Amino acid sequence: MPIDTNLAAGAAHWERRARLLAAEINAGWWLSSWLPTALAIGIAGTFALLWARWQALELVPFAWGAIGVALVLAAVAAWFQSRPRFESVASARVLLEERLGLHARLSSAAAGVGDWPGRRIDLDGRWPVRLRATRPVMLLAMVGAMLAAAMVIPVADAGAFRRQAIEAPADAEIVSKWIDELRREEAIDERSAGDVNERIEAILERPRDAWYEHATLEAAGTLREQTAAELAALARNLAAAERAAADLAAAPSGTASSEKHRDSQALAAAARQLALGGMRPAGDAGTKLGKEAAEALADLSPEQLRELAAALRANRSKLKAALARAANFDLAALGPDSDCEGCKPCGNCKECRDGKPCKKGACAACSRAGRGGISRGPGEAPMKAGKEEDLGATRRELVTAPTDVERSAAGELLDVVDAEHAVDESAYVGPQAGGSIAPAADGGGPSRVDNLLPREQDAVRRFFK
Amino acid sequence: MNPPPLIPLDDAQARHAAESIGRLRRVLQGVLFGQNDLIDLVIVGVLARGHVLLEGLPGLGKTELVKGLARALDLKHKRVQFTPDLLPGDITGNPVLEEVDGRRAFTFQPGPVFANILLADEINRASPKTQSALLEAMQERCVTVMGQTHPLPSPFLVLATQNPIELEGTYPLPEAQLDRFLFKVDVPAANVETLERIVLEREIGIPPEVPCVMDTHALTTLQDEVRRVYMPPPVANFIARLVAATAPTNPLAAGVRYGASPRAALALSAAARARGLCQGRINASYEDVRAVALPVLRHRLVLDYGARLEGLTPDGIVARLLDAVPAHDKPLPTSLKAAKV
Repeated sequence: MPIDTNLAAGAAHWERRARLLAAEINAGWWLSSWLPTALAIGIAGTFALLWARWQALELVPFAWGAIGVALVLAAVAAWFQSRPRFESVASARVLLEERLGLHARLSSAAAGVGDWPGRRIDLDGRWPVRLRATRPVMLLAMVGAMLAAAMVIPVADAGAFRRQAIEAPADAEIVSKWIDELRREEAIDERSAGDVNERIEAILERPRDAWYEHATLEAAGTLREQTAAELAALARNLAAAERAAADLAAAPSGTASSEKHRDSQALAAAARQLALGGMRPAGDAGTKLGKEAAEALADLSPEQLRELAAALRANRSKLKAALARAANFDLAALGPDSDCEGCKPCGNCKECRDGKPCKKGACAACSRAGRGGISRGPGEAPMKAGKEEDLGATRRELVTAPTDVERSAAGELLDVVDAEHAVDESAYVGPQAGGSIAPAADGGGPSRVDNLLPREQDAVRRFFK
Repeated sequence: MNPPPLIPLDDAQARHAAESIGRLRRVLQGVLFGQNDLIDLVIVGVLARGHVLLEGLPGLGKTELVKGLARALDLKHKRVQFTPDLLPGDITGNPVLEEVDGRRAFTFQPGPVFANILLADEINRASPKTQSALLEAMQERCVTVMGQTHPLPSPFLVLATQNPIELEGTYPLPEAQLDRFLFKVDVPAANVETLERIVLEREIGIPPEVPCVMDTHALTTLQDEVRRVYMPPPVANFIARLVAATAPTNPLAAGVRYGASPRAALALSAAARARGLCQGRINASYEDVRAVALPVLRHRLVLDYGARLEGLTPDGIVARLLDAVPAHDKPLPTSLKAAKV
């Protein structure tokens, strides 16, 4: 190796090289100490960013700042931690002279013995150390990718998750919404609404962890079914009372007393059912019906009867409007509208010309399967044996109250509708107590349905357990 | 009190010394064919004021080398064939009763040790008592007989040989005496080319012509200049770490029962300096230390029985240490790797 020993600038040249080598090695030590910490900070920062985004907090900028500060602090700490391993210039000189084969000439020259080697020594490709860039670059790229991913990965809203988690049973929510709409519309009286709300609260009083248990869901489902049935009964009773009141008001003066008596009896029965039902009308209809005794309804003047019919119609309209706004209610269960076009042939459509029920402007009840409405699938035919004629036209159903009133649950349907009951007059029925209601179900039809309240179901479950 | 620091050589002095040494080397290469490494080590040993133990088969030219060295340096040399019945006095010399001026008195008759170069042939054939007679001469460079100390001529160099294949009737050198030798050099067998050259250029019974290239004063000057070769602190640190690594407690020296002594470190330093001067440099270097480490350390490592059973040799352990002990004692970070230059 040619060594030019006569160059005065050799000392500065080699000392600069030694300092450069020492700095490179020291940077390597610093990187070795800092990179694992940076990786840990990157992982922690990733989770912090994900958590901040998950919580939907305004902490993301703060998290970025905290990550930056942590990286800087870690860099400073790594510097102090790796300082004992730092290479001195003298030590770097040893490495340099050994790798370059300078026979300890640099150390000797640094000690004042001999001259420095010449500057013409070719260092290209002979630098003592090589940078292993793969590992640091991979680690830094990993940290960057993790932090970037933490900002890009879709994260669910924890608040939404919590809201979903504490959501009450859906059926209870639906019933609550029905009641809210009905109260806003003043379609039912406050007492009826309060009763239903008490039952909802009874369900919601259970531990939240138990809200999705089968018993709770079943109780909520039962509540929904019962409330729907009560509302349907209320609608039907209002319709019946309205018809009876309208018929009485429209009866001419020469109408036979037997017909008037039958209409007045129907009005009285409807008023009684309204008074006994789980849902009672509010507003004018309730007031007017409440004022008059059931027997005195027949003595009302035609003007009063028309007012009563109008009040009942208005209450029924409110009921339907409220339930229409509150979703998840089968409006067809409320029965056909009194002014439903489906019930009045228009004379223009094909159905009218064929003698079939007109579907133009038909209400939900008139559009149901079996009434010429559009239907697909199995339809809504009751899955039980019965009279075929009951499946079409107006369904007349006799709903009887349970014989043992003491066993009836609060809010249980105690509904009696006007129905044509084919009574066998010749059959012996035995002595009957005044005012009692005997169960008289059709063949194959349900005579009585017992619905247990949730607390009763719990009692039964505990008993059998 | 420390001696005053020696003035380091300058480049011109080093170059001049290297030229003189080069002449000596060339002369010896004309005496002993194909053994350049051996010649270099012997020259280094002479310049470092050390004694050299040569181990090799008979007939490889060890004696011729010593004779050639003595002639080239114009030094007085003696050869002693060591045998089991050799007595210490046969080496150091004996007092002889003489009549001087009518009175009888013992006068010291110097033995063969009183020479500049003593060739101790088959030194391991002599009894330990006789071997130990050399201890004082090698270490103190003087001989004490009947209470009288007789200094040996300067320079004084022992070149001993031992035969590795004849184990019966031999007395292995004790560790204390082995430690006195600067080098233990294995003399390799000659290869075909060397043998062909020997056949062509040599005849039995006719010694080669060896010119004198250096007188005693020049040799002493060179030995003094070796002491002035600068030993940089990093190189001294390298020597210290290398010798310390031979300690049995070091995992790298597994199988070593007794490691090298501080005398080994001094021997390494002197030999590295001498080699540096042979190369015309004013300082010793890591390469010099590595070049002389094997002959300096191999006879100073005492292996345990387990290592011997496993076939470990001192040469293998020294080679392992040279690989494991770097000149630059600090490790590199994982983000950097040492370049292969």
